This record gives sequence, C-alpha cells and structure tokens, in this order.
Amino acid sequence: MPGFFTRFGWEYRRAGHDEFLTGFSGERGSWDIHVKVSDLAVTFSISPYVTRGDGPPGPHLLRTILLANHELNLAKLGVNEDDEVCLSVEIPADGFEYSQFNDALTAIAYYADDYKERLDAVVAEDEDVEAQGVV
Amino acid sequence: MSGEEEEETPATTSPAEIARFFRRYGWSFDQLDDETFRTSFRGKNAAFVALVRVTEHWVLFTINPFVKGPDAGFGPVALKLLAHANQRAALVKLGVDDDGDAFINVELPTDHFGYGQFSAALTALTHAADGLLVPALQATVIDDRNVS
Repeated sequence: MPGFFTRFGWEYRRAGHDEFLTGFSGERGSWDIHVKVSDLAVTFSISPYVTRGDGPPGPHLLRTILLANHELNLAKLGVNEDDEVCLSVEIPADGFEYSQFNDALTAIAYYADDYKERLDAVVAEDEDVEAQGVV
Repeated sequence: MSGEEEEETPATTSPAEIARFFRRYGWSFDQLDDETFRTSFRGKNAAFVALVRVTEHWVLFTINPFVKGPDAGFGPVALKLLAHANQRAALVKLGVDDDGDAFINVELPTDHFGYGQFSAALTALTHAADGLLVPALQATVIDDRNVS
C-alpha cells in the first residue's frame, strides 16, 4: 500500500496496522480519506462526508443518497451506525492491484467534490422541513 | 515454485473470461448478449436472478429489482434500512433506480479483474441479497402501515 500511495503521488500516514490516512482539497472542500485493508477488502472512505446537525438523516437525504448510488460508478454513499453519511469505495483484497488503487482514489475524490453541494442542499431542505414540524 | 501453477490475471477481463469464471465457480448461466450474463440462485429466504455485465471499464453484478418500490416510493423505515445497509454489507451497494425499485450490486473495474474478485463479488452479492431481503420487505410493510 505505501508503494501505491507513492506511485499515485499522494502523501499519507499510517493510522493503524492496516490503516492509512490521506486527504485532498477539491473545489468544494477538503477531505480526509481512510484506507483500511482487511482480508476481504480494501476500503477507501470519507466519514463523515456530509456535515449535518444533530439527529438522524432526514428522508430527503436518505432518498437522495440512495438515488445517487444508481449514478455513482465504483463508489457508494451510505449511513453508518453514528448516523453519519459516508462516501466509500470497496475493492476485494484478493488480487488488489495498483490500477484498482488508482481507480478507487480517483473515484472517491471525484465524487466527494461532485456531490458535496447537492447533498448540502438536501440537508438544508430536511432541516427546514423539520423546523416547520412537517416530518 | 509450488506444484500449483499461479494463474496470471490479464490486464483487463472479457466476456469470455467471465464465462470461464462462472464455470469455475460452479454456477450455470445464460449469456444474454455480447456483454451480459444471467444467473440465478436460491438463498434461505428466496430465489434471486442476478445479471453480470462487462463493459469497457466495469464489471457489474446486479439484482434489480431487489425489492419493488411501492407506488408512493419507499418510506422512511425502508430508506433508513437501505442506507445503513450500505455501510454494513461489504463490497455491495444498495440504492434506488429511476423506476423507484431497490437494487443491490457489486461494481468493480475490469482492469486486473481476476477470478478471486469474481468469486468475492458473487459471494458478497448473494449473502447480502439473502440476508437483507426479509428486513427490507418488513421495512416496506411498516412504512405502509404507518401511512394507512
């Protein structure tokens, strides 16, 4: 994995035995990307990806991320046990090669920037609806 | 070198190779066109039909519809379950398509796609589909009751 980071040209640091932390600044924000290697998969994740207030994600946000998953290639949006919206890419560990490392980091960086404004707008929409007591 | 010869993963996969992978995995399949394969399996809870599509850049394993969307769209309980399942189920992605149906898929690059990844993808898809179907159907029933 360190060799892949070097070849990709991104700085990184170890965050555990099988975990690495990297990051980037795009046009719409800066993100930390965790890369975790397990027997099953290599997982690239930004968590939390969307900044929200307290409480679970609202229905507009949930619907939007599930519809977005139909558009995203390789990456996916989801919600973790802390109710944080996460953006991730998972590749099987078996046969993991540099080209897949490249595809994974490229995809997560591209979509992090691309979906930020859309999801922020939906978060605001859910908060407005909640404030009006409609939900 | 061991007696077992290592299999080299080609730079990019092809439909012919996907057919070989199916045979090695031990599952029957139909080839629907140049790039699409159909297979099926029976889990503990239901029988599923899965499609495997090979494009220039991606190999896509999908079950769609996984759960048919209600006319009014999925309610908050089902949406929450599907969104959370994305973080719990490794390698698979759940979402809602343009017809409002829930799908479940695994999508991987064709570059250096070998049998190990084919096997991991198909195994993840089948386990997730069978494990999530009943909770997803229950969630849609709860949403339906909450509306009526």
